[in-house]
Amino acid sequence: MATILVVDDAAFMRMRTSKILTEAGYDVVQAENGMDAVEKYRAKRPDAVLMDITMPEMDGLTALREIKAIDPTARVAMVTALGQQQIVLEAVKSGAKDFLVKPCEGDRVLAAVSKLCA
Amino acid sequence: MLATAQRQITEALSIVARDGAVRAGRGLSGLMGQEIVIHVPNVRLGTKSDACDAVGGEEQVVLGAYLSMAGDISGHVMLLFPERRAFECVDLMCGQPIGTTVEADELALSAIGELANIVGSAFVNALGDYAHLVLHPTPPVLLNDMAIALVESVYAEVMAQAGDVLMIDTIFEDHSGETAGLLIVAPDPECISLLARQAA
Repeated sequence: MATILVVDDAAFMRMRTSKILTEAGYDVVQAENGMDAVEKYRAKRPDAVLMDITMPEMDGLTALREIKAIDPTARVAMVTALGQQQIVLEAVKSGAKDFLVKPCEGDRVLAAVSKLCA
Repeated sequence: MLATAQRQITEALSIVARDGAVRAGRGLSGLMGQEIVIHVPNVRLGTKSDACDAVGGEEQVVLGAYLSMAGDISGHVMLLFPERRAFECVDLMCGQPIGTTVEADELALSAIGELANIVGSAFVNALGDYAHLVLHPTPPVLLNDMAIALVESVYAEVMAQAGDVLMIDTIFEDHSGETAGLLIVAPDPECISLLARQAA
């Protein structure tokens, strides 16, 4: 089964997203900021990444760019709050394949991951 | 003049609170994968003491989050729970039996922050739509302290002119039970007249 890297500084959101994915049979690796995500991506090479945008240490957009520099084929979806459309556009230009708007329903999370892993 | 404006705002915000509750309930239901209904049985202006009483008294340890409101008007939004009620909310959100959460650990604080983000943002968006104002909530700042310390921080912003803030009793209900918190909304004093005109 595919491995998904879940990146969010909010412990609750990491727990919830990981629960949805593990119950659907995915393996999950968690990271709590952009820098952590880049390190985990380099070490684990997950099949897809769900990346929050606003995080301390390193934001999601910067982490996306660093991950794409490590692996140009990386499949990343950005997780955004309402009102971050401009950042989403920048993320798409930087190689993000999809985006989800918080609070995202479980079905939407699974559909995005399924599309990324296809 | 100010008292009239405050009355108009309170009446308008009672309507907004109900709309905000519906929106927040929808957001929470989507997040948690089960129906969450939010009731707002009481919307009123209150003093610092009233706000503390609503969450168990001045020395009650409370958990919650603060969001500021920016855009056409500015202001403050705070969602507070007595500690035990906050833990019940965390258990509801995590789908675990009530009583599982017993301390304000990282997961608990994060869950309360997300709850405040959804509820506070829903209320701010409902207010903006009602009054035809462009309003943006900021990301939540987590709070964990005695009630008086947190409530005073909001009242310090509005004491000079108004003295009271808007208090919305907020009840969260799912299939397994309910828990309650307090939503405090305080537009900055210079914004009150503008908000009253928009709400009229």
